Amino acid sequence: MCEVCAIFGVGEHWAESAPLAARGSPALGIQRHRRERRRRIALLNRWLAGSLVSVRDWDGEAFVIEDEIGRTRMASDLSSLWPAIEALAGRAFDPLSETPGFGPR
Amino acid sequence: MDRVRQSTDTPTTLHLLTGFLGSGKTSLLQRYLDATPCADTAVVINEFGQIGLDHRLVRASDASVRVLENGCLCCAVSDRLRDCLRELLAERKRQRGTAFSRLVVETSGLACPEPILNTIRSDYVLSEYLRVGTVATVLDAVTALDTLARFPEAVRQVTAADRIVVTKADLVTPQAIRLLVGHARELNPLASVHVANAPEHAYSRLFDPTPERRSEAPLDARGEHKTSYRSFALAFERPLDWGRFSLWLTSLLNRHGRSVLRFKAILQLAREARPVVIHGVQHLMFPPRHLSQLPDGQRGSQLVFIVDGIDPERIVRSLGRFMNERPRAASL
Repeated sequence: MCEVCAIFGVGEHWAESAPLAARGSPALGIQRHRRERRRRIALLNRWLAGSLVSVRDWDGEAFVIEDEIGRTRMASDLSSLWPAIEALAGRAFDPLSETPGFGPR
Repeated sequence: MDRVRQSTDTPTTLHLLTGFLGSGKTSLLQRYLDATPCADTAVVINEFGQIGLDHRLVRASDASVRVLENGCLCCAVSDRLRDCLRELLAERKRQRGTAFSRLVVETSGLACPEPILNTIRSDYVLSEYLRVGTVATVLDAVTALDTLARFPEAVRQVTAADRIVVTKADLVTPQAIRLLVGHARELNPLASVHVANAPEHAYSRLFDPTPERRSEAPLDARGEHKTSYRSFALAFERPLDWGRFSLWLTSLLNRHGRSVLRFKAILQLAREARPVVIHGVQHLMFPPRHLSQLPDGQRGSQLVFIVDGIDPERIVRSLGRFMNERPRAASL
């Protein structure tokens, strides 16, 4: 299983719909899927450092977004992740902004 | 479980034929059906008016034709499109209808392609059984420049296209054709542009896949036309980290999806030998697919954006910050 299919190998989001036929079985490569997913969430949390919001995995199937006072939201995929982060943080995360409020640091 | 529901059937290819009112979509479709063995083709025609006429023009062919009248596919009748496509698939399954192996949807002249594609991709049945093939957009040589200047729907039809076909070229001068083709390439350097009545034009190839190719299109392109639309290509020398890039892209589409009219990239990734192609129309991204190798002449990753109202330099700076490498301007 390649890196793209490992991250995006499960689910129906555009980024998660690599054809299963190419992999034989969803069980194949599941460890790499989880490993790549952990890598991505760790990177995202580094980007979000200072925003008082963090993200963790929910069994490889969804994202849990949590703020500093324990409020949580769930997001099923990357497209719904950003609105959920913004809703809890109470501000926009615009990557085109010169001060995006998140990102590499 | 979604993954258990995955069909083992090969998805049926659905092609989209779009173009502004009166641009000649139905005539082109008729010529395509005449030039192609079409007994295995199902056609869905959407007409904005209450009483459809266009479908009568293609009735003589062998293709199975359905008509959705009185509304536009991208808004008023999107549910009916979904139901119509589901019905066609169900009839095929029950072996009652045409045993089609491909579908062509002709949109109304006012339809934006993106909501139609979204209807297909977001429905769990349709996304299972259908694969979006080619988006072909028809431009009327006589009126297209004026139409593109006045109607954003027409621009969206062009920017979503894989193939652009100019019709009625015999009614204008060769210089007018060159202007229109140039403008179409400015708006969408990803699409191949064809003139329908040129001697070499093959109607049967209307929906042929567009090769991953380099074009002569100048990028960043804005040309003589004073619009807010910009197309530009960027390149990264070093392999990209897919997790990092996908986070950046989804955050971009979250904030600016309506302004990113089209995006396509051939990516060379850090931990994957095979290049990956991804593309999308506004918020709607299609599943990534692998290439066996990079197209001739390409090194590293290439990304093409068609945007409305975004300064390309902002995207360059953002990618530079988030990818740890400032991309350079590229040609396709």
